[in-house]
Amino acid sequence: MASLCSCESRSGVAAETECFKADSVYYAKGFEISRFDDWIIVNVRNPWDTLKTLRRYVLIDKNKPLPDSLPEGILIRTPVEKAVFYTSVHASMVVQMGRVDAIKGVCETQYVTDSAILTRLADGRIADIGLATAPNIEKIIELDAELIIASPYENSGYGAAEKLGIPIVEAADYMENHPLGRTEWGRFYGLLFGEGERADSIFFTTRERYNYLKNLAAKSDNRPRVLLERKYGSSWIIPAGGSYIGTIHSDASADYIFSDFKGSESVHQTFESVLDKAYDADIWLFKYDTKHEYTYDILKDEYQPYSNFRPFKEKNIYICHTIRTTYYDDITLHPDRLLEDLIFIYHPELLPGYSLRYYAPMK
Amino acid sequence: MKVRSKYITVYICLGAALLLLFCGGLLYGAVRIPIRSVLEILAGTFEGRQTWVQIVMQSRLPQTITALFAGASLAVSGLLLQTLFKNPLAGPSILGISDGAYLGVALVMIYFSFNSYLSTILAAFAGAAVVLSIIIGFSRKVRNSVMLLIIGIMVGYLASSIISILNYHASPDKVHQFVLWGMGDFTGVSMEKLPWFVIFAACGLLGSIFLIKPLNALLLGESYAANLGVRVKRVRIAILLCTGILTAATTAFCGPISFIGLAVPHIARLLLGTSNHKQLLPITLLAGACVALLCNMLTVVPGSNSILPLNAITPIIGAPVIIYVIVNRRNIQYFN
Amino acid sequence: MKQQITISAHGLAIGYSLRSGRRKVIHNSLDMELRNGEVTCLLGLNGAGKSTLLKTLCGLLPPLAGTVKVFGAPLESYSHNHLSSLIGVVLTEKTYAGGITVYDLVSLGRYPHTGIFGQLKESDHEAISRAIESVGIAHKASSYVSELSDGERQKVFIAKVLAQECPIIILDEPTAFLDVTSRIEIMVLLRKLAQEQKKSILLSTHDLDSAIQLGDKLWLQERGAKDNRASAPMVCGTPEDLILSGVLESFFGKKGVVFDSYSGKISPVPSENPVGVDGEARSAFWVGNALKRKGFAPTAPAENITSVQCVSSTEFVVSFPNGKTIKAKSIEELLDLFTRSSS
Repeated sequence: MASLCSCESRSGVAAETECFKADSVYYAKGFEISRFDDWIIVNVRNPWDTLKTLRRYVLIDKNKPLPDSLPEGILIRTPVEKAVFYTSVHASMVVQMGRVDAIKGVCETQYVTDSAILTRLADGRIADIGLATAPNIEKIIELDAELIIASPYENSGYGAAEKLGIPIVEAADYMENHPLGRTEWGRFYGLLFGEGERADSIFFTTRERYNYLKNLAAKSDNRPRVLLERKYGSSWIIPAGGSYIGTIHSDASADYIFSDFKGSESVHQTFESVLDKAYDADIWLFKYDTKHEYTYDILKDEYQPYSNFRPFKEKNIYICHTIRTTYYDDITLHPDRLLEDLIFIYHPELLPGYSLRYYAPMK
Repeated sequence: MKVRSKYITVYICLGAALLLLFCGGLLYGAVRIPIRSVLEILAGTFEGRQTWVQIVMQSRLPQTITALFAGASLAVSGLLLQTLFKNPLAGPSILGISDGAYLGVALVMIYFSFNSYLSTILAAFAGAAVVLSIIIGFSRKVRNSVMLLIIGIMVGYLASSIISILNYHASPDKVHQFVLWGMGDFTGVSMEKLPWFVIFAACGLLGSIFLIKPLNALLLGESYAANLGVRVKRVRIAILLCTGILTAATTAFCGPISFIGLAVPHIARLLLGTSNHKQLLPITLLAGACVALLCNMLTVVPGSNSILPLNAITPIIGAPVIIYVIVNRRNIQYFN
Repeated sequence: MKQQITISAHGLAIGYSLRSGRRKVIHNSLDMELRNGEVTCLLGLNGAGKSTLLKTLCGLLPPLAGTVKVFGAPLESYSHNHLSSLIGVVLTEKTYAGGITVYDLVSLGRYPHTGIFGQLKESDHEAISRAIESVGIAHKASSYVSELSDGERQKVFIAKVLAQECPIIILDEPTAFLDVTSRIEIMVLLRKLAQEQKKSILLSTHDLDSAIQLGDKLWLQERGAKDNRASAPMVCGTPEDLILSGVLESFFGKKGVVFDSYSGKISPVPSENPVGVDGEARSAFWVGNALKRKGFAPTAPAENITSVQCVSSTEFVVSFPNGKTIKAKSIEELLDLFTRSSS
């Protein structure tokens, strides 16, 4: 829904400018794209104070000359040829757009699951930059990077990297509550690498698929009651109903037991509250990342009262290993695939012949 | 005698408080269960919601018993250390024993990525045992108790720095996990694991009772104690062993818990007025159990969906006690 | 009852083992014997190593050489517990017992006689009460030790060692903080224990007066050995023998200090300023004391020196060499005269 309007424009060229305002960004709440003749402005909102802008980026094509008066914001010449990624998920997104060549450095390579990146890491075409919290600045300089893409944290800067003079894109996609909202950030990244259209089409395809699945799930009469995650220490961390997880599970037509916790912040509950409310859940899902595979025995050994839950007694627990599967990459890029998994778990009759990608029944 | 009647009063009051708080732990929780139902559940005659039975018997009951023994263990451990090192600000954290246990768990959780319950416990014990043997080794060579205390502090710092390095290099979710464990937790011990904790704690507590006589002698200093027939070196090792078992067991099953070991002996001394361990040790034990039970109840904030971490609550009770003692030390006899 | 040697030392070398394996020897080759039924006072200047010696004799410090025998058997052969019922000590070390009552502290003395938990029986309570009574702090029995004055605290520790009921008691400067009356009380108490209960009492002290009066034996400890040379041996004997033989005098014969074998006092070296003193015996003695303080040397009256005739305690006649005589009614007036005349 593009709308013609006159937006603020420093150059004073008002009438001809066409801007795509936020409503053409469908799900993401964290950024806005405004197109002008000579540049594109992307406003990234402050996820902790949504009325404020976190950063404004001004994207100008390399082939075009720099205008005399630049609008306010961080200048990025596109398409970017050499970028450094603090998170492997964003790098994977760029691979999907066909620009793996633009990835020059990645942090925390132990979490990379994308095969294209892994190959290039092995033969040195992509450099290991170290920890996201303490990246190897010298390496970044050596790579002659034009851009850094990093995830912002509240009240924290990027340390020495800020002084490099290289633009840092604060990718706040992880703060989005809607699964497609996260995916939509790919459209912003696409603009950076000159693959705006391709990124858009990937997004639209994903959106189609996601919505198709969502409608499919809605056809089922069954709405199984679902319990998520486990107890850590004295609290059971419950994702809220309005959170990313809450949304995707409701979109799979499940009755997420704690969906009445509004908002998007997770809530710490005592074990007894969870037991009292969810003891008769139909299905239980949790994620883990230990070396050993979880089994019913191991779960019971970990905390014996887990065996009181109905899904335990009826052996209806599904587990997902977050490192051995591409879970974290895919929930951003392909939430539809996760949705498909969930729909198969909750309504197997809707997807005959499907085999689970992430979750598996616990042994 | 004046002191004796005061002792009996304090004993009775604390005993009553203990009973009350124990019941409180069973009756009060995030889920509202009517008192009558709880009593019926305990008696085995309840015919209602099964989850309530599970909550009371499998969650609240072991949690309360764990809190009781953990509080008693940490408090007694703190008292032993304060007497041994003649320093009223000594505690199990000071000697680095809980840091050693913490380090053991850090290594296992962050570096080796094991996450099972058993590995955590073994790691905590191993870590505490390593620190303890270092301290015991030094105690053979270092005659001066103050020097030994400083060695303990240094070892604790060393363990902390290694933990920091591990944290720095770990991924956010592992750090998060580890930080959660570090918040202290009485709920992790289920009924079937509980006997192990109780056995270890009871061993340590029983051992400490046998140490009452030499502890009193140590109030006079090591020369006088030796002249009274106390084998000072052996007693020192016995005290360190007792305190080690108590701290390691508590840290292994409940994570590191701050302030109880440091503050409760002072609470006991303020209540009793005397430093005579014959009265001080049992009262410290009871007071520790009471404080832990109280903190456990306070983790559940009434009316809210959330719970508070244990190590955020213990300083609220512990720190004011310490500050009071320091500010009033001129008027407090055991400081002079 | 035949007298027994309770502690004896032969060729004893005392000192400290230092970290690097070296040893700091304070004294080498000391010989001494302690007997029961006697109070022995250990005298010596500060730094002579009195505390070290006492600690070595009671087993708190190991001897660097030589042997210590208790009741004829070597010290090392006794078990800790047995030894604690034989030797009781009072030391000068800091303690942390401020938070317990006097009664509780004294009851710690019963530990060698009680079981694992330190349970006190009727007989223990009696011993404790007796001990508290005999040092005279019964009125403070329920007070906390931190509330006591230094002198009272000292008495508590003495009471503790009394409650320990050992045949040998070793005390390191037990009368240090006590006032004059208490000092005598304690010394009399120790004497009683020695005489009536036949205990062996060894104490170090700076109180020469009491030592000479109430001690059966004196041990004189010289300053420690320098540079590994042999140190002076211990001199032991009855006070009077040591005085009359001149040993005590030479022991204290340091610069500016002299032991007066007539008065039994240590005093500054007398000046060469003689003044004759004569007359009533008691007044004469005290006039002499006052003159000494002012730097004069009281002596027998003679021709060409100023003399004081003590008629009574309120009448003194001063006769100058030039023949002048002046009367004084008090010693203060007398001293005024002397200071005026000497200026």
